[in-house]
Amino acid sequence: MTNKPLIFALIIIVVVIVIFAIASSKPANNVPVENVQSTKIKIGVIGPYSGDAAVYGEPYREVVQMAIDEINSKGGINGSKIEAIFEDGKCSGQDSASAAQKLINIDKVQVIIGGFCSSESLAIVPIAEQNKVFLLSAGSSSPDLTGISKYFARNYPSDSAQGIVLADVSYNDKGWRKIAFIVEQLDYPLGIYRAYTKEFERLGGKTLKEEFAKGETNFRTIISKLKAESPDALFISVQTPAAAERIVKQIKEADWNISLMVSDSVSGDAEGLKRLAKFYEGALAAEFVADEQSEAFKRLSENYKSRYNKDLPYKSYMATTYDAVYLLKDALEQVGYNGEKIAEWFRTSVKDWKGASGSITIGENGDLVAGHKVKIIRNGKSELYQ
Amino acid sequence: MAILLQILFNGLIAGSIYALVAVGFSLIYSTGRFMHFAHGAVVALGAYLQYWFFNLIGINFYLSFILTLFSVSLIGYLMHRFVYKPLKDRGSSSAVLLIVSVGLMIVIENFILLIFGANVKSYSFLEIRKGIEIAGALITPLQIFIIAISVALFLLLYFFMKKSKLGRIIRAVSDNPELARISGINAHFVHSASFIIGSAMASLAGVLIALEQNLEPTMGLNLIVKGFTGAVIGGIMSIPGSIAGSFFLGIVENAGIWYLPSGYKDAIAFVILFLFLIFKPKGIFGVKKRDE
Repeated sequence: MTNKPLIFALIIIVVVIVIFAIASSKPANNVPVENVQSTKIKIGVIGPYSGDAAVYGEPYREVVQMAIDEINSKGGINGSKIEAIFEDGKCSGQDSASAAQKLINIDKVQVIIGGFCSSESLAIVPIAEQNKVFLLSAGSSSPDLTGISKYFARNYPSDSAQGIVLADVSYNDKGWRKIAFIVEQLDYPLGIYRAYTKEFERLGGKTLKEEFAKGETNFRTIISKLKAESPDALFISVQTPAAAERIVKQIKEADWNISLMVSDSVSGDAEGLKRLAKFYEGALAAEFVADEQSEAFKRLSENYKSRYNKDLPYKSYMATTYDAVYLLKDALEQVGYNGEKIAEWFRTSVKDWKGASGSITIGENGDLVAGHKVKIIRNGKSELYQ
Repeated sequence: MAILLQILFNGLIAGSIYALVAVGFSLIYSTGRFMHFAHGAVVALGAYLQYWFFNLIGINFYLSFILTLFSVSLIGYLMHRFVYKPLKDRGSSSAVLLIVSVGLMIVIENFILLIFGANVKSYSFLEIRKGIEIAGALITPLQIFIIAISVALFLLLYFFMKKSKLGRIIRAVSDNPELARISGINAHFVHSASFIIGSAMASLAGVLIALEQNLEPTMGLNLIVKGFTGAVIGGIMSIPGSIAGSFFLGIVENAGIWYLPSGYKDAIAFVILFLFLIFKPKGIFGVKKRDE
């Protein structure tokens, strides 16, 4: 008798979960069901589709779906259609680990595009390796991922490049000697901090840092503390533009005029830069710049605009995302649907591959062989720094 | 000196935000004796309804707020009437209600996500500018207003609970629900009233917090975690106590990270929570029980 309400509550919870699961697993663009045939190749796609990081997670999902639809409309992989299974990693290690478990154990995928955030990739590499499933990341840039496993490769460069080029410009060009960091406690922002500090200290400078947990909204005491140290510049290394927005607003309220540097997650958000132009004026950033003149990039940009009716955001991230799908297409055509063979193919066969992000070569350690360029934010736009 | 004052201000700003959340949570807890964790999501819902009325429909900001206040109070009442009350009537334990409240929180968050999307939003109602300088420390007018509202709520609720008839009834129910019922107090009325008042406060909290730090669908979870901590520190059964506890939490957190690396901020909050649970489980303003 006393169990009844409990059972009732459990039933309600289960029903609600099922409804949400069904609602959220619907393909973003209502791809007609008849497109999906029985001989389909399942590809898992892990990315941050909710939370602050959804600003790039959503277009990421759209670009992956668009590329897959393009491939399917041209006959798929040797006649089989590709089916994407999107799972939300929420930019967190824990959530992406559950997502990877689900994709590997229930959907039985051999290949996953993801994680997108470095925290996602770092958490799922061991799971993928154990199950011989190949991971291809189009956005993870933590230096900790270099050579982490033969089942992991990325066509996005490591942050060690981002940190190194900015440290060089800060020390030699700007003459800064003491840099303060506000760092979010996640793998990507911490990776930039470490790479920068290593290079900056080698040159003879000094850095100090204050960290904050994901979801923090009050930075006032951190700002007061760093302001009291009178650094030459402040580096805001954060996972999402939303966190940076709160920080720059609170810097303004604290009346602190300081030269800024930001991570490329911030400088890549065109809409945010425009809206917050006065806060970011003069800030430096290092971005991995997509080759906007390439055929593939033009196709990506035009198709995206006509399909989703908006401009392509986060051009570099989306170019690598688009390329990731096409790289996988080539791998699938050449070695078939097998995680181990695909992993091998990525280590040995990607040389000067022409894509939307430029010419791609993936090294023995699974990293993209390429780097970042320094940019400066002027009037709400990021331009090449001279 | 200016720095000490600045840390105090920073602590007061953080504390007043926790307090705005804690007060409704504590009110509902003290009368119903269960953790309404969905309260954080109700705060977020308030913030988003205001966004809907003000930014999407284009109603005057203050009029929007009145609409938000009434809508959220109604939603709070409906949650009580159609979710919690039926379960309570069947004699569900507070553990069941706790799980249900977490479920409600997830439903509300996902509902917001579905309607408004995951991107961070802003009312763009107030311009961001340099704060007012008081003895070398900076604070914005909005922050002064938020602190003032929290302090006013503290005083108002303190006297309301002590002097007014409804306040006494609420205290009677929170002190001993059985005895209150035997004395002819309509507990259902008190529970409904606490949900309506608590949710109204959530909408006020939601709008003020959104003005201060923007809107996102998952904002409620962080808020309720800190609001809950503040409420426990202050004495969860005491509504003014939960406000005092929140201020205490805000000040200690901000003073703490002046000396420790700032990454330990949450650790500081939860160490305080543990210390209180171990040494002073009834909190600063803990209600004494005769038979303990």
